Amino acid sequence: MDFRHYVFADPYFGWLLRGVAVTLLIAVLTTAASLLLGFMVASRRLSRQPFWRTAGVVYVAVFRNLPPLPLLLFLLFGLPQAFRAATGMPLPAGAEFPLLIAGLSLNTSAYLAETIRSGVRAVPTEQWDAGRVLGLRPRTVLLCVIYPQALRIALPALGTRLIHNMKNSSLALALPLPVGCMEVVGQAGRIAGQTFAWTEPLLFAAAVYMTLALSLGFVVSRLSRGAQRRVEVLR
Amino acid sequence: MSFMEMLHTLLWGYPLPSEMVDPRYPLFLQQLGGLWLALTITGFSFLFGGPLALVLALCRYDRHGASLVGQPGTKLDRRAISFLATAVVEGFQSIPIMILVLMAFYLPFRLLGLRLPAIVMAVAVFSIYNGVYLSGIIRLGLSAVETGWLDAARTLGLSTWQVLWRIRLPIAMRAMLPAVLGQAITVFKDTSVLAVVAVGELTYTARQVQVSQPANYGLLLLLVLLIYWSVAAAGSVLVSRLDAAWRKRLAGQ
Amino acid sequence: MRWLAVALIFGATGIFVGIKIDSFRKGPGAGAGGADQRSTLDIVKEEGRVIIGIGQEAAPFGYRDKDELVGFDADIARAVASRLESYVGRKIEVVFRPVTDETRISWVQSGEVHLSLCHTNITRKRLANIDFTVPYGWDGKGVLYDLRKGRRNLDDFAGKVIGIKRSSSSEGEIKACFAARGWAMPELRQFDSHIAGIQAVVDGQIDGFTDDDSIIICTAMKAGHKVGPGGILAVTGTPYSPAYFGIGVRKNDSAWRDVLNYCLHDLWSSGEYKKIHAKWFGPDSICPMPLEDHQMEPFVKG
Repeated sequence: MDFRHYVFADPYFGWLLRGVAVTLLIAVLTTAASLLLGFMVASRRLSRQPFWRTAGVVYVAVFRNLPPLPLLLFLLFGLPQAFRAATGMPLPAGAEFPLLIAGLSLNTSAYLAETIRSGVRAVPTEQWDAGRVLGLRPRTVLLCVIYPQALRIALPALGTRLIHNMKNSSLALALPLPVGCMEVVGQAGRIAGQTFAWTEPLLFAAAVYMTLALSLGFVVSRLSRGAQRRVEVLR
Repeated sequence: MSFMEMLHTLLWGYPLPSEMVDPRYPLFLQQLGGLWLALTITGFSFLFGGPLALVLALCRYDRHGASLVGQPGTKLDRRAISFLATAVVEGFQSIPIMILVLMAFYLPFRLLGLRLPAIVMAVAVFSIYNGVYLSGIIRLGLSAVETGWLDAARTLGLSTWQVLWRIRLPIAMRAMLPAVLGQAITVFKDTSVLAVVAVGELTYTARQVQVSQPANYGLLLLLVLLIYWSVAAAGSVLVSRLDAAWRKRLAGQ
Repeated sequence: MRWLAVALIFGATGIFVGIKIDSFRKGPGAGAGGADQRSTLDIVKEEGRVIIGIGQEAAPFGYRDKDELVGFDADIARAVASRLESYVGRKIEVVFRPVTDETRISWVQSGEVHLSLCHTNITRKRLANIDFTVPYGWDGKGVLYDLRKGRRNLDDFAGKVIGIKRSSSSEGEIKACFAARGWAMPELRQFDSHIAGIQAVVDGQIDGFTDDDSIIICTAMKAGHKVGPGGILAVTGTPYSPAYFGIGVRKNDSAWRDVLNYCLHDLWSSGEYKKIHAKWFGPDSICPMPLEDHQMEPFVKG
């Protein structure tokens, strides 16, 4: 075990720190994207029009049942081939990172949509009527009255899924990203390739994810405790 | 390679050269590959992970204060055990499966001097991973059992363990079934990560076929996704059916 | 509760690692742990079989041809194993175990495989973790590129996007090569397998893919992409960073390494090495590499 040579040494520690930054970046971007997508899909699933409802159901059924790693592999290897077959041109340069974000968000948003929908279901129906009585449009009721409450109810489940989403960023190890854009496990693999020392960088990467996941879990549990209290007051 | 051959390889795995047969463990396990290996690993992860999950769940202090391990009356022991179990569960849950798999392949020797074949390590890591998540489900299931029934059983003179085995677990089991199946689907999907350490499950098989068919890799991956999806979707349908049936029975009671 | 748990885990891990560091310091070499301290030679002698770690994704060194394992590494491994019998004094059964570029070293350290032939370049950084036998092959690195966009030299890739295989020594080597010549650093991408990188070149996703010449040429050819004139791919001229391949063995196990060195030497003196070399790198092979260019013969004497 030699952390001094394989982790806290000149180029390697910089790589790993960069990896931590990329991990955080991936987590933030995918969280934002999948929350947005999740809300959109959830609204479709609550829609009155059967077409949109079915579309929402299909979206959730498709992406919830696809494993993230093969999905990402397909997006980063299969898509360029298909694009080339269709247009005769390669996919624009630098498409890998956005595709990674897209793949992770597709996966997470399908779960989030379900969570949000069940949160909305749990909001008492009187809240809808109350909004209506005040003369608000259905859309406004959903956005300004129902969603804030649904969010509070669904917060623990949402938090768990988003932490899981953060952990999913480690799948980027298997993808052809620019070496500077690799997250912390990828950077550990880079060190291992040059020195054949996996143990130390890998333990470092594990510690990084552990710290991130546990502290996020702490934040989520604190937040949901507060939210729970407010939900109970409302009832 | 025709389409049917491709599909067959993805389902059954790449053929095993006779020189690669490892005399230390059963031949049929080594010849398994593709989808069947992914399913087998999922199955084994329940076989070994289930008991682990039960132990972890029982060690953790639940809301009724009915932890079953440790000396009754001495609260400190129970707390310490519950604390340790929580640490194990939270600790493993906070590490991504990708890192767990890599750690399983690189660390046991460096830290413990353990030397194990790849498939054993794959099963071990997925058993732990599964056990840790299952323990949460079991814990919830156990605490969902109404205390009235337990009190009734206790007044009939059943011991703590009898109450657990005869009353609490069977009742909880039925309620847990959908969640456990959901967990099985998750584990099945997560076995794809094993491709990184060259265990010949579905995703890695695609990589092996790709060596001779690189221009069809996209198609191959699409096929892989389709296979994963069909199995997982079939499982999901089963879960929602079970869930609905369970709710109906609850409403009937 | 959570925070206490975190503290507990970190504390326990820290203490554990601390203890282990100590035991490693005391143990002989990197491959200590609680593993077998006997020489691998004794283990092979006792078990009557030798477990060889072999790559299965890189033609022409080790790759799968349906249910057969073929390649230069595989043939050398079989030949070495058959020579081994005379040094061990009993019949030796050969067991191949597939290794990846990641496990080819860690499994040697752990004793999961007794030796590993996986086109492993002998580098100083790697020597810190395992030992190598005398060289049994060599190669240099080039960049595979799309010939349809015109001929290229190495300097044309300054500042371009180049793919590398994960866990290969390419990253350090190509950077050193470009830095020494003052060219703009290429942007590097890591690929899971050689073929994925080669296909990315064909698909136009990256400008080039670099690794050992013979691996990229043969892997591309086996996959049906012709390399060289008349094909769609080509490899840059004079290889950079030429290196020797060695058989990886556990650190500080000289009894075992010596015997393997004798076996390799026997292969040379009996002419068997030349036969195997001609089969994979002879004038009629996909990737000819004249044996005369290299001073390999006198590596063990008398």
